[in-house]
Amino acid sequence: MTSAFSASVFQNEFLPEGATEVNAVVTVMASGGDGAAAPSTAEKAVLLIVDTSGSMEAPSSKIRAARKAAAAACGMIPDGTWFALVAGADGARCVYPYDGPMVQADARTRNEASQVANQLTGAGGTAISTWLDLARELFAPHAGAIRLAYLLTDGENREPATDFQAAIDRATGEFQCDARGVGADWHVQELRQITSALLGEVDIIKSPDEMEDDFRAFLERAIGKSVADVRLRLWAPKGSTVRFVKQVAPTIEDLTAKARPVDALTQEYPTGAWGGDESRDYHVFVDVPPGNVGDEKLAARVSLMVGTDVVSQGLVRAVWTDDDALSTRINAQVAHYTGQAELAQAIQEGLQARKDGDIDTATIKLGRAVQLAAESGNEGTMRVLKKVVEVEDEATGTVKVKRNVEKLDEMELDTRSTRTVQVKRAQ
Amino acid sequence: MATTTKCPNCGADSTTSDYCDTCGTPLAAPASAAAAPAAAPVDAPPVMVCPNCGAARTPDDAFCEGCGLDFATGQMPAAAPPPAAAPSGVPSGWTAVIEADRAFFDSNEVEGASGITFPDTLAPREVPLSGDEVVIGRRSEAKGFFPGIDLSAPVADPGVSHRHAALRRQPDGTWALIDEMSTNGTWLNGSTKPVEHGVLTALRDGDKINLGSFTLITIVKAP
Repeated sequence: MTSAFSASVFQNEFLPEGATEVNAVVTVMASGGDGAAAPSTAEKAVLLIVDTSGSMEAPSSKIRAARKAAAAACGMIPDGTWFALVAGADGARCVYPYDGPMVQADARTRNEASQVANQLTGAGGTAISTWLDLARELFAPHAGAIRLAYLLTDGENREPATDFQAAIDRATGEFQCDARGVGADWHVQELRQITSALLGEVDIIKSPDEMEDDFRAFLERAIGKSVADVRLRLWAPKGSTVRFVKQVAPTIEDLTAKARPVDALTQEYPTGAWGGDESRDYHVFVDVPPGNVGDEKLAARVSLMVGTDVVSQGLVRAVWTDDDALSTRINAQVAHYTGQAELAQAIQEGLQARKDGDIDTATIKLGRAVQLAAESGNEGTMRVLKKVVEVEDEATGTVKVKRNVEKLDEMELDTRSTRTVQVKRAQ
Repeated sequence: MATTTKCPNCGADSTTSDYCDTCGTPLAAPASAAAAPAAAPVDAPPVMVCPNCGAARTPDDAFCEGCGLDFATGQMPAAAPPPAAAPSGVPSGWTAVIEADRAFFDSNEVEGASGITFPDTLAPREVPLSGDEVVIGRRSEAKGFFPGIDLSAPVADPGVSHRHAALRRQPDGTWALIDEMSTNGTWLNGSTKPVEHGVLTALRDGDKINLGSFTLITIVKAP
């Protein structure tokens, strides 16, 4: 073990008689036992997947920036890390090492890979399913390692949605994947489909010259990962229903559908690899059988699993009371993240309505988003919201939807809509 | 390992000894005294309350929902003295050294019109880090808010938010920095980019934190 985990539960456990709904926020923190500076000893495999379709040549600044960024990234991979470079178009090809398999980074392989990266050229179309399938093959021999891919594209996927989804399904659980869209000709929803299933993050690269920094940041995060395949295990009592399990910080990701049953009362949700110093919050919502005043029940046992070990756990309780002062209180963390989830949804629905030409709905949804962002102090989201709407009053959510909005700004708002801020604790 | 406890409620043999692993009913008196009050009958108010505002709390709560009091450090209540003067919790062996940083001040290019001048005479001072969290900010008497590292005195740094950032004790005894939502950002070790809001960053001995208009905080571990 290179990391220690701790879990804290935030909830109001008091319920009025007969009530069944239990909400809690569980904060899980990992802290590196060997100091943050020392890269962990866990085996790692990283894969860079670069779009080399014809559109990357139009304008050619994109492919040039991608070459430079990929070459720089290959040069930074730490000794001993397994890696490969994939060029993706209608089909995918492992260009370094040529046709695979992955190699371990050392001075020679880093140098060779950088040279290959510098020669990437764009031609052909975009069939991302082939990229994901090749990635899966390349990662297959490294099942015990922390497996992270970085996928960079500039255009929409040109293949049937079913092929795309099938490739994502095949890749799920085999590796994690971050996805980046360059420019404004790609679809946020498409890349989000990948990253949501493959436990990664989607983001926009608005201008090619931001590529190198983003590659670098990805590698730094990858290097910091120290524990592979951490799972959140949730036990809930007989007769209860798990309404949802969501990661709510640093980003919102609904995990409910990813449940894998362990036994009749227990499910597990994949959370991917964790870094030595990381904090994530989860919102758990369980319906338990109703209790009488004075009853106490355990409503959920949330455990963090590494292999077969429970590395940390938090207890979510239910205590039924006839004291309204207790049962009507809403926990600050639960309220905060309920608001952040609504914020993300309001943005996505507002942008969709805007696309559909329904300006009334867009105004209501984006106005609500402004209000929620202001209430929670989510300055990052507010900043991108203001590129899309004119704010008249933050507190009431009175806005005007701007008529002319840069497509890049709209896409930025969409990709960043799921980013949350942690709850304000004092003041 | 294979010992089980019979649940008085549903009769199942539970492999967990704290709560029944079938129906969730508390089993026996828990070993942890902290869990006992909540398990007691509810007719007498069984609840732990916030010493500051009297709001209900549980042993798991790190902060009061009513007034935001940090239970571990006792920070925030108007009734309590500033924690810098009366540190609660066990000293961690780590210290924050606070001083004015000329290079950082110059790099901020503070406009002359804003009237901020570099405090030449400000001597470095030390605040021992204790408890689970030490807030970095400026005090607000009106709100009864007293950060552990108070940058409103002896010379106020006007670029610091009231609740600017915090140092959090990690399970391994080291400290981490988090800037939840400061207005002007927090920089670590001379980086050109501020630390990301809401992200914990582990600190090492000698790490340098810049914030506000001129403040430098160096984190030092006792030898």
